[in-house]
Parts: sequence; C-alpha cells; structure tokens
Amino acid sequence: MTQAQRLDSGGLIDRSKPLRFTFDGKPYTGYAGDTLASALLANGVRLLGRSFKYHRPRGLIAAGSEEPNALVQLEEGAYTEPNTRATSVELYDGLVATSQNRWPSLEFDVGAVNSALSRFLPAGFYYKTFMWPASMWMTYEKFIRKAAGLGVSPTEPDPDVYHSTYAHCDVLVIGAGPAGLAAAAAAATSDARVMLVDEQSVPGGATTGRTLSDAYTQWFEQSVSQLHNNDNVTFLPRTTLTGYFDYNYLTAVEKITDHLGPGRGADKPRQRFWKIRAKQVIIAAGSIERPLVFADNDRPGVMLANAVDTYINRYGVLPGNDIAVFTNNDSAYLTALNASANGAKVTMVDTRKSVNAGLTSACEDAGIKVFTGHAITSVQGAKGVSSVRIMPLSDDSKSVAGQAWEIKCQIVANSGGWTPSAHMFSQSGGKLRYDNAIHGFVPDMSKAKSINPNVSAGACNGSFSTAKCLQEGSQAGVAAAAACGYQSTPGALPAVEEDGLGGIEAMWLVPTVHPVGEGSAKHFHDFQNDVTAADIHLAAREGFLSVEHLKRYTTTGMATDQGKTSNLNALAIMADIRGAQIPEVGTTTFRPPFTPLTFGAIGGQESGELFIQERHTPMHGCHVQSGAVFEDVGDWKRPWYYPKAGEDMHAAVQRESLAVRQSVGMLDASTLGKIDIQGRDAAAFLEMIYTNNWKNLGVGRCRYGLMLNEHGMIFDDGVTTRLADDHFHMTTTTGGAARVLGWLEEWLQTEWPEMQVYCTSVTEQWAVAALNGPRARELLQSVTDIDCSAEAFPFMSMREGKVAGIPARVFRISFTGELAYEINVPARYGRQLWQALQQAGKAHSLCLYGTETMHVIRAEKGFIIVGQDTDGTVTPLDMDMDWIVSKTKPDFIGKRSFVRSDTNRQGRPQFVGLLTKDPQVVLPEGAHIVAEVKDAPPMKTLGHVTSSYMSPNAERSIALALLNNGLQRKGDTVTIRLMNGDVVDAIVTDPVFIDKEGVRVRG
Amino acid sequence: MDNLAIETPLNAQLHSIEGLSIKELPICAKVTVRGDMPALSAAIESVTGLPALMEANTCTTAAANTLYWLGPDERLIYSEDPTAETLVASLREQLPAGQSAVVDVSDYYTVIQISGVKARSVIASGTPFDVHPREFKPGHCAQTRFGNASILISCREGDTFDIQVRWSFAEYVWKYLCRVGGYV
Repeated sequence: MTQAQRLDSGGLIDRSKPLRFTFDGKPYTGYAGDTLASALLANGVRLLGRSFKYHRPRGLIAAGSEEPNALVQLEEGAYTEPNTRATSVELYDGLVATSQNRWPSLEFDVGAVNSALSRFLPAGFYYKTFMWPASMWMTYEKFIRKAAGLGVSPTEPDPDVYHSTYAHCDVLVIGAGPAGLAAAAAAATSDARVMLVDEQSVPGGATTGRTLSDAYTQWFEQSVSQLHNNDNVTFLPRTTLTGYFDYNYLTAVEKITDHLGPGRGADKPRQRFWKIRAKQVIIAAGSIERPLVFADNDRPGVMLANAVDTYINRYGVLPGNDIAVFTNNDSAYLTALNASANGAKVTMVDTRKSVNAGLTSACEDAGIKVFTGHAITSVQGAKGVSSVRIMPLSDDSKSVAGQAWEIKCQIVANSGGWTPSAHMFSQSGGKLRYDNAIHGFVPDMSKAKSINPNVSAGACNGSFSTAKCLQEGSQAGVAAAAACGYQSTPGALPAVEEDGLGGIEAMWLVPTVHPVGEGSAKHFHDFQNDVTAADIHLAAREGFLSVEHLKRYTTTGMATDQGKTSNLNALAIMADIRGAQIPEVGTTTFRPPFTPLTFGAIGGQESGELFIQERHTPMHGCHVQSGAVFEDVGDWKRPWYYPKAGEDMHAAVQRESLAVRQSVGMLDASTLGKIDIQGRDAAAFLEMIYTNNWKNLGVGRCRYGLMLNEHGMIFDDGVTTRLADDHFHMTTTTGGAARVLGWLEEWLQTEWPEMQVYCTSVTEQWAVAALNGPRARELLQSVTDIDCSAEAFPFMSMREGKVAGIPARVFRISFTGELAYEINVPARYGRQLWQALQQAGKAHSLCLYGTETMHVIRAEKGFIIVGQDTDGTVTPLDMDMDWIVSKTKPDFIGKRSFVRSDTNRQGRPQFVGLLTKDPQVVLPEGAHIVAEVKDAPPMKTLGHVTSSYMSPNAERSIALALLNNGLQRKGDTVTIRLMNGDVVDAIVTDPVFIDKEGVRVRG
Repeated sequence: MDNLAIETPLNAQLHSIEGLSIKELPICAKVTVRGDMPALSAAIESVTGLPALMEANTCTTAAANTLYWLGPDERLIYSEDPTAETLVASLREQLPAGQSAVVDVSDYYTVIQISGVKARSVIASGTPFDVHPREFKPGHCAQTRFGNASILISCREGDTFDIQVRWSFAEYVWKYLCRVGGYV
C-alpha cells in the first residue's frame, strides 16, 4: 500500500523527503513532518493495538498527546520504549514500531476472549480478587498481570544520556498556540525574561496547518521569528510541561534528539529536564475534544473530529474516503466541510434537533447530507469501521426510535464538545468551576492559590475562538510582565474569522436500542483503561458515588493518559445516574506528570559517577597504589584493608591487626569530622555539649568527650583539644561531622545566642595519618623535630612542629589502646606526609591498615563506635561509662534525662563483652541473645551482639553486646540463637579483652 | 617548607571546549572570620584594605585580597599568598580577643574557575540559584549547591565565575562541570 490516504497537496509535510519505517514488521513509507500516527493513517492502517483489558482492536482517536489508544512499542533492544503515543512520535527514517498487548498477533489476539467474558470481568473485578478468597490472590495476580498491561520495558541499560537544568524567568508561557504566542509576544516586548514551551515540534497549536487569514499568517510568522531572535526569550519546542508545583516551580521535558531516531543524536543528550522557577505563569494549554460515548465507539476508525481536521490540514492525510461526522456542537461542521472539500464523502449526524441554518446550508451546498436529531446506535467492523447505523433520538434524547439508516464509512469523526486543559491550573492548586455555556470545567480565578501567580488564556480558559485566544493571550502577557515590573508595548493583533465551539447541547451518553450494559455493545468513555458507561452504572449500584471512589473502582482516568478524553464524560454520566449536577460529583485531582516522561530525563546528568559523590582524602592515590580495597563510609571511600598478593580479607585483617599491636600501623584518619571552636565562651559551651568537664583542660591537652541528645542518649563522641584559652579543635565521627556541626549551631543560635562562640568546619583542611603501635614513637621521632619522649609529649596532649618537614599538629591520642599519634597536616601536604611516613616506616616494620582492622583492634579494647555499639537508645551509664558523666556540673545536654525513671530502671540493655565457649566461633553481628531457645521465633530477646570479630591479638573470637542488666551478669553464660538455627553459648565478660590496665597506651 | 610541593585536589587541571574553559586555580590563602561585624569591620579593613561592612552576597577585591560576604557575622578572605599564616596572625592581632573567630580554611576548599559563553548554562545545570547576568553580576557571590556539593560561587567578570568547593567534592564537581559542558 503506498500512502493511499495521502492527499496530493497540502499539509506541513515534505513530500520530497520520504521516510521508511516498519510497523509490526511490515514496511511503510511516510514523509518528513509526519508523526508515526499520520504516516500510518496515510498508509490506510487503522488497527494499531489491542486494548488493556478486553483486548479490543483499537486505532487512532486523536492527533495530539491526549491519544489514549495508539500506544506502541517504539524501537527495539536497549532503545525500546513502551507505551509511546504514535501521535507524539515524529517520524524518522528507519523507525521501528510494534503493536502492544496482543498475542500472538495484532490481527488474531487470544486475549480478545476477555471481551467475550466481560460479564465476568466487571469494574472492580481486580479489587474483588483481593477479597475472595483471599488466599487465591497470589494465583490471580499472575494471570491478571499477564492478561492485562501494555508495553514492555527494556532490560538493557539506557544507552542515551540526559541533561537536567534549572531555569528562572519572569514569565513562563505554557503552550505556543495563538493564545500562548500572543502572550509571549506581548511579554517579550518588555524587558521581561520570557520562557515559552510547547510540546509540538512547531508553534501554532490547534491552528497548525490551517489558514486563518493573511493577517494572521503574517502576525504568526513575525511573532515566531521575533521570539526566536529575542535574547530575553527562551523558546522551547518539543517541550512538555509535566508538573506545576508550589511557588511557581514547574518541570518540563524537552525532547532534543528523539525525532532523529535512536543513536542519531551524536553526543547531544536525548532529553532535557527543565526545573523552572517563574515569577508569573501564563497557561495557554488549549483544550481537548471530548468523544461522544456511543455504542461500540472504540472501533478503529472512530476518531475525534479535530483529529480528522489535523490529519488533513497538517499532514495532508484524508483519514477515510467516507466519513461520518457525529456531533452535539457546531465545531465539527468545520471538519465536515474540510473533509468534503478534500474529497471525502461526508455524512453529518447531529444529536441536536435544531442547528444553526448557516451550518446546515453550508453542508448542503457542499453535498453533505445532514441528519439532525439523530444518533449513531451501532458501529460495524471489528477491526475497522465499515458502517454506522443511525436512528432518530426521542424528544428527551434518552432513547432512539424510528427509521434507522445505515451509512457506509471508514471513519467516524465525533465531537462531544471541548474540555479546557485545566491540568496546570489545577496542579497549581486552583479550583475549577463548571461553565454551563461550554459544558466544561474552567479555571476559577477566585479560587487560585496565591503563592502560584498564574493566569489561563485562550481555550484552556474556555475561550475557544482564535480571536478570543489572541486577545486573552496578549492581555495576559502584558499583565504578567507588568506584575514583574516591566512595561510591554504589544503590537496589533490580526483579524481572524469567528471560529471555535459555537453552539453545543449536552449529550453525555448516546442511547442505543438496548439500555446501557445490555446487549453486546459497549459504550466506552475511557479507552485506555477499557472503562464503559456500564461500569459507571455498576459503580453507582455498588455505592461508589463520589468521584474519587468512582475513579478507583472503575479505574477511569487512571491510565497513562490520565483521562484527558474521558474524565468529564465519566463525571457527567455519574451525575446523570445520581440525578445531580456535574459540579456536585466534583472533579478528580490533576496530578503530574501531564504526559509520561522518562526516568532518564528526571535523573539528567546525575547518573553513573555523578549519581552520588565519591569523596576522597588527599592520600587517596597512595591507597590505590598500595592496592587498598575501599569501603564506603558515608560518601567517603576509605581503605578497608590492604591485601597482599594471595591474601583474602580475613588474612589481611589478621595480619594488619597483629602488626598494630606488635610493631606499628598507619591509618588514614583524614575523614574524621573536625570543628574549629573559638570564642571566649568556648569552654563553657563545651561543658554544655559534652558530659564531662572542659573548663579545667589545659592548653595543649586533649580529652575524650561524649555528646548526648536531649533524651540523654549517646549522640556522638570524639577527642577535643584545647589549642588556646578560647580555642578548641573538636573531632567527631566520620559520619557525624555534618550532623554535629548542625547540632552545635542549633544550640548556639536558638538556645544560647548570648554565647561568644563560633564553630567552623575544618574537616578537609587537615589530612591525618594515625600511627599506632609500640614502635610508633621511634618511627615518628625519626621524622620530626618534636620531642616524642613520654615525658615531653604525654598521652592526651598535642604538640606542633614539623613532620617530614611539613608543619604539623600531632595529637597523642589513641583509638587502638596502643601508643599512638595522629599527625595532622594541611591537606595540600597530605600525600607527601603519607609517602614520607611510608618510606621512613620501612625501618620500623610499618604496616598500612584499613577500617576493618581499626574496628577489630578498637573492639579488643572495648572502645565503642557510636552508631554500631550504640543505636540512639543507650545512655553513658548503659555503656558502663559513668566515669565520663560529670556529677558536679550544674547542667549539660541530656543531664535532666538521667532522673527519668526509664533511664534508671533495672534491666536496661548494658554494654558487655561476650566470649563464645568455642573460641573459633565468631558470632554474627546483630545475633540475638535469647532467654530460652525455641524451635522457631518468636523467642524472648535479652540483647544483641553489636560488634564481633576474630581477634588475632586475643587469639580467639571476641564480641561486644548490649545485654539486659548486662553489668550485673558478668560471668554468666548466655545463649545466642542464630538465624540458621544454630545455638551458641557465650560467657558475659568485661568488654576489654587486651591490656585491661591500659599500660600500652601510656608507654 | 620551600622544598614542599603543594598539591591540590585537581592538580591544576584544565578542561577546554568551544565556549567553555574550566580550570582549577592555584591554591591561595583562605581565612574565615566570624564575629559581630560592625565591631570587627575596622580591624578587618586595616588588615585587608577592604571594608567588611558590605552588602549581602557580594565580594570585593583590592590588591591581593578578596573579601566575601557569607553571612551577617561571617566573612571569607582570599589572599594571593599561598599560606594563610601571616593573614591569620595579623587578624588575630587586630581583632578583639574572645569575640571573634579566625580560621584558616585554605586547604579546606579549592577554587574551580569556569568561563566562556556556556559557563552560565553549565552552572545552571547544577544549581537552583539564578545565575542570569541580570541577577548575578560581577561582584556578586552566593553560597548554594551544585549537584550534591555545597559551593560558594562568585562572578568575577562577564562570563567568568569562581566556584569554591570542598576538597573532597572537587573531583565530583569537576566531572559534573565537564559532563554538562558537553550538553549545553
């Protein structure tokens, strides 16, 4: 077939540029400027897919993004994309599309049996399977998921790249139809920063391809070119506004290379996600034609009247040679005349008994037969319309009676009126009001949300004529610019003939010879989710009367098209059943996104290595060279262990752990949080922040501190050093750095603003190498001018000097229980320090160690890790650390909580050591200590293991645990029941397994 | 100290494509000063030659020094000196004891300079802050975010911007800038 439906001339397509494509494997040709939909239609293809639930044959309904039926699987492999609307896919050479939701083929689909079984698959069927019998849901689910559903997702990674960006403007205009263009053009005559977005590839909206008047054409071309050339204007075609959020924050997706075909965008991103902050928004989103709800109105070939117009005007495609136009309003007469003028044999069927004589006589002049007061009562042709039957409507239009006519046609162009696209106004928080003149909801500006300044102009405001669109748009543009403080000088608007909706009489449900729901005919209102008028009746009978219940019960409006063509019909039918007015039934909530969008676009460039930052210390390159395996600690990459050839993690950690206690080890401790605290009240501040005493700390001395929250629970810990009377250097846990700084600032700013204290994060100012082990002193002394003797440089003190020629602060503090020095140098020298120590360390059996060894050896000493051995519910007393809680200070954060009965009760979990009876058994962390072993959970828990390792220095396994009343239970045997059912006995001990007297650290 | 090589997180890398140039600037002294500004301004001015009572979110340069407004009680001083020792010492000497904080943050941050006609679009890709030339002009600065990183951004001139970023985030921001440079 060679584009049999293509007109010889007309349209915005380029007949000199043929494009090949395939649909369901069959080759076709279209032209540059086509959409996939228009190209298929040009080739006479009407059957495009099978419906969601009943697998009914379906074809195109619309020409724009509201299309509910023509969803295709676009492309293959990694580039495949499900549920793309054929009407929104610009044709490119080599395009591959496949129909969805059919098996084994589109022509013969086994699932169509669902249509015959529809009596057993009513609305709410899905929910009923949850209810009865409940145990069967698991079985039903597999069947339902397979039988229903649409396209398939790709399994390969997305080969495309995406870009997301922020944007700011004074005036954002949504839609580049006559109203939007007029608005942007007017606003752009001022100095305002204007953004204009439109989902189509070319501006013009509903007028695209139409010739309104020479004056209009001239105005249009001039406006578009001026907007393109204005530096203050960002004009984005192929860009869909997807969401409208508070404070005029809106998101849009720009399709940059989709229209070129997969892999043909060179290095350009496929799509761009815009995050726009606008001072004023002008919504000029147009309107969407409503289908009439009549018997078997889903046959392929039943289309919206304006879609037929668009295919003729914009794409040069006459959808059918015989067209029946079915309407309840004047606007479809333009379609009839247009189709007739382009060679179609047209029959007009109008539900209204009296119609403007001008329209009927124009039809008669064109040779169009007009049936007024008639309705289509059936549509023949399962896989494509072959004819319709029409009958006269009764006086009340609730039934049909009288002479039936059979009209041969391939296309039924129908119009039930126009629904203003109030999506964006509604998303902005505005409420809608029902306008009886147009039978549709329009924005109610008296119920707009004031934090989102916007105005609707043109068809989305219920003003359908082009003249009105231009006028409202221009006024809105001037007003929006003025609201931003800019004066506009809009040009004159072109004169155009009156068009638009004209007269309309409501017709929500077209009667047929059977009452709705009886007989085999189905009256669809929601095509994509296969919901019929009978389903609404069922919902009403079962008591789901409110719009929100109706929606969820029938799933109307819940498909990917969000009911763009269906919602108002559903409301009106329900209103009719209830004998209520449409506004009483209400409207559903419009939610983002307006049309489906890709996750790729939302993520933008923040994928792969930009998904989350990898933070590196200045020594990172050295660790890589040393073959470190890295561990994620927060965002940091920290060396986990340094395996030698042939070593696994266990072997490496055992070796590193022994080295630290036998010779000397070196750890990169740069990630520890560091906060510089200055001001005359610094010591008093620390007295409040920590549980112990700080006023008496000497200059150059260090002290370990515990921070509690208001509830008395351990929050963070670390060593703080007094650099001067009013100057301290605080360290925090790696993960707690930001949290602690925020905590300090909060107290200073909200509770103690009178304090003269300033906290500044200096975490990354300092690169830190920690030397730990009995040979740490000799190694350090070999590279420093600081006197490292025990007398000159005692434990818990700080000295300044040079290490390897680098200016350094050296803290003699220890997280291993060994003789230890933490050498801090400015980050710029971090790598040199590390390399110098590595070099010097060769003579002292220096061993590099990572975070795993750090964990093992601190556990040998019973040193806690906040967040591992504590969980936000333990007090210092629970941790057997009452030595660090001042009994003399008048106050500190958390102190009051110690008088609470709960923090004083017997039986609180307390920190203990555990030694398994079998020293080779390493308990899993998190394992539960149980009161009594049973075959299966639940079992009464007495506590849990918080840390557990094989300790080479203790030559056995060791564990730390929180155990109810643990401090009183030392020496007891407890039972740990593992997930796999194994039972392990362990003895409760002191948590210090090595050097209980603490001799080594002071050596 | 003279024999010590200074390293920066990006080792003075340079990335240049049409309309965009991105480079890491040489290390400079950076000092945070906090305190009650009306009381401290004279002292800061005597050391830096720059008035500390300034408009919010602006920066000003004189000779080798640049002063940034970071908050009502917070200023940041850049000096072309590679180390902050002298600057810290003179500030401590001039400022009233116990009522202020002077902190050397020279190594805490590095500065990435981005320039060219694409610069503003590249920056807008990662920051919700408006960098339109009408809003963000030479002499303006702002603390905001770029992707997941906290940054201090300042407009040097026309289409040239300095982005101050924490050492450990420098590589991330660098890669981010280079990647979006190819997208705008």
